[in-house]
Amino acid sequence: MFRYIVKRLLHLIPVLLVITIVLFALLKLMPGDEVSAYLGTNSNITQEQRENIEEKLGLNDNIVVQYAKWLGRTLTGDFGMSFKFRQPVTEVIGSYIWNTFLINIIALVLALLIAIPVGIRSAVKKYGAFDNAWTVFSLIGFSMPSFFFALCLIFFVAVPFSSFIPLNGMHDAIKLAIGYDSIWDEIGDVARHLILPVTVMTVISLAGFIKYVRNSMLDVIRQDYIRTARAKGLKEKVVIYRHAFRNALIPLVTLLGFQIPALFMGAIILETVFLWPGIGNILYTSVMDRDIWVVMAANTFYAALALLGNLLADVCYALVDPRVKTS
Amino acid sequence: MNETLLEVRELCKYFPIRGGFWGKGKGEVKAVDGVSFSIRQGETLSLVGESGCGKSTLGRTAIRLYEPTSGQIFYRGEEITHLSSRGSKKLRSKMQIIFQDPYSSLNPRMNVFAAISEAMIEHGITQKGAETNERVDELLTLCGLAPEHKYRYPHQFSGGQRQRIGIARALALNPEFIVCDEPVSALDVSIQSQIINLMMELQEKMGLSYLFISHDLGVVRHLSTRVGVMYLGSIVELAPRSELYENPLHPYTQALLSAVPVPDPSVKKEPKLLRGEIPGNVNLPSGCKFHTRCPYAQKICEQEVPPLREVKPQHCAACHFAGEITYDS
Repeated sequence: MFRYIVKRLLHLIPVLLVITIVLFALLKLMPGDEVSAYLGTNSNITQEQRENIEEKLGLNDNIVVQYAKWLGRTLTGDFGMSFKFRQPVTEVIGSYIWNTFLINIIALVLALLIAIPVGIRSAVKKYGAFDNAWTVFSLIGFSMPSFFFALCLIFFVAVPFSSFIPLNGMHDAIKLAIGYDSIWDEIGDVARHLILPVTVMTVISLAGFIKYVRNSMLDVIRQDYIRTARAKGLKEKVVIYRHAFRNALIPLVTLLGFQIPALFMGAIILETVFLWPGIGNILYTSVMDRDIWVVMAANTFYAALALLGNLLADVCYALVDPRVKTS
Repeated sequence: MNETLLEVRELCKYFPIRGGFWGKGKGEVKAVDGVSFSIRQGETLSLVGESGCGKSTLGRTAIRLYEPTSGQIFYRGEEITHLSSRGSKKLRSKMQIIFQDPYSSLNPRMNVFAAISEAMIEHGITQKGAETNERVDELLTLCGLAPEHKYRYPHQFSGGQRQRIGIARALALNPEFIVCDEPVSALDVSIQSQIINLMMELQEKMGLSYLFISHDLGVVRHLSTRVGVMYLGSIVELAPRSELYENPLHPYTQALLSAVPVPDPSVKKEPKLLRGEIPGNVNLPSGCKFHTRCPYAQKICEQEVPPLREVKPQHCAACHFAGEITYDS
């Protein structure tokens, strides 16, 4: 198993390398020029100053050399300087990434906690009222764009109840300025800010999860070995959970591997709508501001996440299914 | 022979058909339609018939894996038709089933030991630990498997070995009665005979009774005490084995037997081919269900349902003209 993981990790390196080459080329193809992006709005400069900056940013080099320089820096852990924040990219991303993890992990755990029992029950009582109600819910959740749902929540929930549920952001501006009474005060404040974005993310991913759990369970329930389990005279609970659900987990594990990166990417839009200080929000504003080293680092992070998600799915697959050989 | 073990009276099992816009039922599939028979201790009753004639459904309903639609089931004289789940749990250890497909009837995520021991522990037959361990080894040896393979998973075994696991699993609860639902039809012919011999050996050793479901008339002839022929959810003929094979009374049985290939190329044989298709079991034909395909059908066959009557001692047939139609093999 250990050897298998190491081997798979080594396989990821060339893939990631190709992805960064494509990303780099795309960024360089973007319209606009980097000097004005570097200077921001303050771009009244002489030709000489401009040439100095171009030299400083390494823009005079061949694009291949530029990439090689970026790669060399990155491998030593230096992702460059952010034009906008005037601080190292690692610090910019490092200070925001945990906010993204926070929102995603809460939403993922909530979605799974709801989807698994709901999906199992829907499958066991197929076409019942419970199943039909959740099918309608899933359909709505699937079809509705996340930003639209987010705007609906802001308008119908946050506006009328603004004293308790904040519109956006992560901290109360006044409290942040004058300081919190205690750590609990801060946690409570962040929790209230989490309500809306976590609700949107949970509902959106719940729709897919329920369908997957339900279909996967339906697939397993009609298998012959479930009948065998019933013939053994086992309790229905044992049949459903020990025999059926364990087998239904196999495709779910794969789904999870794909779903984790998908959640992070979905968060890009949501973080922008809710002004959540996460990596998605940073990526969005950095693209708008042509803050290319931040964009490069954030995109590389997303690519690595997707690849690791796949690897995680394969490893878990081998763990839960005795038929899969890892050699 | 001795005591009657299982008796089934007028058993019906209908499956509702879902459909329509509101999911209301559009009718029923009459898989088993008023079947009566009994099985005595130590005997093998075989059920034969075409695919979809309700053999498997009958077998599964008889041991309460399916809820019967109507009719009665008695086990050792006690009615078990509507036993609660707690009551049927006790019953489960007495009545077991061996399934048709040894590939799909074993949970792929359970090793052999877990598959066999699970039910024993659930029913309190053995305690966890050395006792269970010993019993599993014993069962595996009994079924011709090596006990040291017990921590392997089903996919590491061949079809014949898997069916042996299925048999060991069924025997784990010390049953008296086993429904064998086409236990060999998914196996190679050479493996079939091994499994059948194993089953006959076990029957002798443990005094088991079998309800043997098959469409292989050769296998049935080899191991049965009595044979029942099913057509569209009903038994059309029921007789002791040699009587049925030598002297079939129902035209359907006659057609089935004449279709059995003779393993001798020099024998010229004209099988009595049946006309038409088997009718669907949603809207059953009126009168005798077989009249649409019967070469001897008369007016009465369309109107009156022929009862299963004892034409000769122990030999029952459901045909208005049973005994009048001759059969030359």
